[in-house]
Amino acid sequence: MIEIRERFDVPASPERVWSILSDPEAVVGCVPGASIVGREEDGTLDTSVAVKFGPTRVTFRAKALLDLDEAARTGTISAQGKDSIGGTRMRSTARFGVTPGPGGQGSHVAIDGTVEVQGRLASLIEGGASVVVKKMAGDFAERLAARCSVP
Amino acid sequence: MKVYEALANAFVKEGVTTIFGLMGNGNMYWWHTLDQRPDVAVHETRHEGTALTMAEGWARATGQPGICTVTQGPGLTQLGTSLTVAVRAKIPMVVFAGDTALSEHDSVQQLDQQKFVDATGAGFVPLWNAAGTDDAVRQAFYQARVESRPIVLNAPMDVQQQTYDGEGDEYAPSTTLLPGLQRVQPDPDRLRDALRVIAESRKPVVVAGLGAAKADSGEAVKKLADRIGALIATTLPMKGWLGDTEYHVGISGLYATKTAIELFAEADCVIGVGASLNHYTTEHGYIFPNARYVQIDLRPSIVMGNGKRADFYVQGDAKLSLEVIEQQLAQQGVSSTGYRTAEVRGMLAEYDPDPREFEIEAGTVDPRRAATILDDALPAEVGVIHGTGHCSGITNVFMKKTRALTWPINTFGCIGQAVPTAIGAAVALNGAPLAVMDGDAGTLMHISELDTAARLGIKLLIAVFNDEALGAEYQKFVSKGMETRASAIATPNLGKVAQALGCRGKLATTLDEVQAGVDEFLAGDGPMLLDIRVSRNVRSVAYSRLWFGEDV
Repeated sequence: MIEIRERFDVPASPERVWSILSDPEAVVGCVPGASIVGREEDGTLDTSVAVKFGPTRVTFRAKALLDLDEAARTGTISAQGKDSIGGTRMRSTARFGVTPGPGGQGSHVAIDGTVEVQGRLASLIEGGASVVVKKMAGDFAERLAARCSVP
Repeated sequence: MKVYEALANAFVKEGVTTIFGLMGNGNMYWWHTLDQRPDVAVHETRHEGTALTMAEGWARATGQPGICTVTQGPGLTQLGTSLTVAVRAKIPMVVFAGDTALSEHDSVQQLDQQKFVDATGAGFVPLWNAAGTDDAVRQAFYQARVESRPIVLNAPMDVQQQTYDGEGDEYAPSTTLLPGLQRVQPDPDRLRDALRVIAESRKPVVVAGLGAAKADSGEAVKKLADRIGALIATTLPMKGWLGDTEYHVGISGLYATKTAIELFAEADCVIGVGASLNHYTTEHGYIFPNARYVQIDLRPSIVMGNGKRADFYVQGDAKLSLEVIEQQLAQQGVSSTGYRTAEVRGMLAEYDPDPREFEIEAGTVDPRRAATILDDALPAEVGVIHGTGHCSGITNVFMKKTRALTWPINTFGCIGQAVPTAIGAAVALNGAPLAVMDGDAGTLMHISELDTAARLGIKLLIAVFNDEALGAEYQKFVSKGMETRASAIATPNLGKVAQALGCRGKLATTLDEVQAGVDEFLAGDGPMLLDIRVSRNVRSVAYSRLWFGEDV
């Protein structure tokens, strides 16, 4: 089990940050290598995520569901799926929340989550997966900040 | 004649000339009989496990069954790891093992020896009485040759002392029971399907395994690869095979170069030749994400490392199958550029296996540079054996020369095997120089065998990539941000240890000293250990991928 814990400040209002985080298309757009390939009636998204473990690229197809609490500006994204070769399953949940930034300036974003990888790939990527996931979380934060700064 | 004499005679009739063992009361009389013969050399080692591994190295080098002898009970149980290694490596061997007397059940050395041997996967042939002597030896050698694994011939001490009714001249060796090599023709229907996929392929890769060399299919591999524009890769055990061929990309698997992995991602067809395409070779299938598999092998069926069978499986001799495929493609006028473009040739030529820079601690060298110096200084006719451990991820990648002999020793994932394997191989090479690359823990595990190496007078270079640590575990601790102390163990100057045990020995803390050490080895005679102090900061490409997720 890989844990995600990201804390970062964004130079944009909480309303602006929340408008991105509550938009599935925008959230997926902030995940490197991810895209939405379909949408089901209950709101579940079919997503595709390409991840590079070392030089080896693996593409996951995952169903993702976004559960939002508008009033509290918190949400949960849960995703589960398998890779295109079919030997590996992944399951991930992440809670996120937006609060006013330090001194009332901008916003503060907190993300806490877990990623589980099971199956053939697990032994191949060993400890490296946690490094890859942490880097993805960092990239996500950067992309989110960049996106929020565009009015 | 006593049974032990008849047993010894039967071993000679089987063609045995070289034996490695450790003497005890369960094998001493048999040993003594063989030692009287001018055409048999029995080499005394300092541990039973290393005796078996030396015999394994000898067998790998000669293609003949390797012979090891141990005494009963504790003599046999010392074989645990080595015997398992030889089973996994599929090496034909016969182990002459003493056993306590059948009539004596309360001996301190008593053990149910078959149970122990069964657990390793080796075969077991018991000798129950004098009348069964010839049959038991023949059976052991027959099984070793046919099943290509070690067989333990179990000889209780009291049976060995019984009277054998015969002169020994009527013994018919196991080779008289063998029908001789046959080349298995592939099924034409299967070939047709495979042919179609290969003809359609725009980006084919041929992956050759041990079976490809066994079938002597090197020229056939090259010819087919030329026709369809394929890249050639090998499994790890076949490292260096056809290495001088253009568009050869080295090993497929974790030790693959980054360039190879990028090219493999485009492959639409993988042709496995005498290779099981296990999860190491295919990275569970992930290294070839877009390929269909054609597999040519002698076994009736194989489940590959991705958990599936090949899309097109051809059971048959590798050389014959490849030749037929190539001829039929030629008849159909199929010829493809495939991967063979100037761009790919450029990528392969410019490739740097590891461009990263690391801070090198004082008193140590960059192990990558040391491996390159060794590779350059040791001529192609000097074989190189690679051990197991963090260092093997460096020596296997940086020693690229195509050599008379290249053996990565990694069949059971254990340390300590490479040096005894090399000693046995050096005996088989009969004076030709040989080198082994191993870590400090792996070398120290059986350092006492330097005494055996010195007595044998073999020309063996033992290059120790000494990071004064259990390197693999050290790097894993680092990756998890954990304290590394438990994995870091100081060593003495191993050059001096080697000298004390009768070998030449040198310590190298600079690259110039590495160069001087190899030069000294080549210029002189007898075994030599070169203790190369290497930086712990230089992490192998394999570990960087596995534990640090690095895209290198």
